[in-house]
Amino acid sequence: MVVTDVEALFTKHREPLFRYLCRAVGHSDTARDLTQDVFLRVSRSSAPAPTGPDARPWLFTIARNLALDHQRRQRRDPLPALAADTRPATQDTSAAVNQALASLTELDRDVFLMRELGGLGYDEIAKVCELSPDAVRSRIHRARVQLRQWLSEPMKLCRTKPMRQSARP
Amino acid sequence: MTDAANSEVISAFVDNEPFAAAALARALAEPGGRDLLIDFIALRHLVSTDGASDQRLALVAPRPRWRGALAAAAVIVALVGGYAAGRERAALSAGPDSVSTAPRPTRVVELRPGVEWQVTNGGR
Repeated sequence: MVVTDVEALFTKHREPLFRYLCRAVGHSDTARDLTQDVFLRVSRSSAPAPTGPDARPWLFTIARNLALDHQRRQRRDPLPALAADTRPATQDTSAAVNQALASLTELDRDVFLMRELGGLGYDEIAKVCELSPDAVRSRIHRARVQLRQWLSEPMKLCRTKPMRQSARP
Repeated sequence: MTDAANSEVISAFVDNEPFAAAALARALAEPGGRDLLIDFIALRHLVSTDGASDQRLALVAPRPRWRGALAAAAVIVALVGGYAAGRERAALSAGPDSVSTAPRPTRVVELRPGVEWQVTNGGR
């Protein structure tokens, strides 16, 4: 693949991919490595990269596969968990979010994160996860309702602050 | 609380996906539906912004600290080198005797004995 094409994809998609991977694997350092792995795979790919609207679902398919591989490895060889009392207070909410996300099924979590952090539309998520757009819609809604129950306390605090419909400009 | 079919339209609305306006109106007519809308937006903030500020992607290598010291050293070398080169050039252009021989006077002032040259009697 041409270097300039990879650079263009990298510039445009690295941040949403990283955000998605952060929550998918629950660790920013791992997410950083996996984001680089996505573009390493893209650069080594002999097939031409999809262009235009097909590029984003293609990249997220690679990212999702890498995240699933990582999670499988983690299940086989888990890292020692960080004790709750050694965790900095500022990470409490983040840890709660990660815990709530972990309560979802793998597919519901992926679908939800691709929408919220990757910014993918229902059609794009349907392509990545091989679902129908209606199934994506139902799964996202189900994930939201479940997370709402898990995160009722942090959400109460969040409601007291100014909000935008979209969290990122 | 709205039922699942009604509340799904709120998700679609929040996600800027196509939705049935009548269904949204029905869902938001109930207090539970309005709460759900606010909570979905709050949830988005919580998931998107929490912890994300310290998780910025730093794939570009940070600028090394030694670059500042290297720049300062380069400036010092340039200043000292310029000063030394200027001195050498001035010495060469003045000729070989210029350092040991005093320059010729342009005007000679004679001080004769008996003349009180500091006393003035008026005048302009």
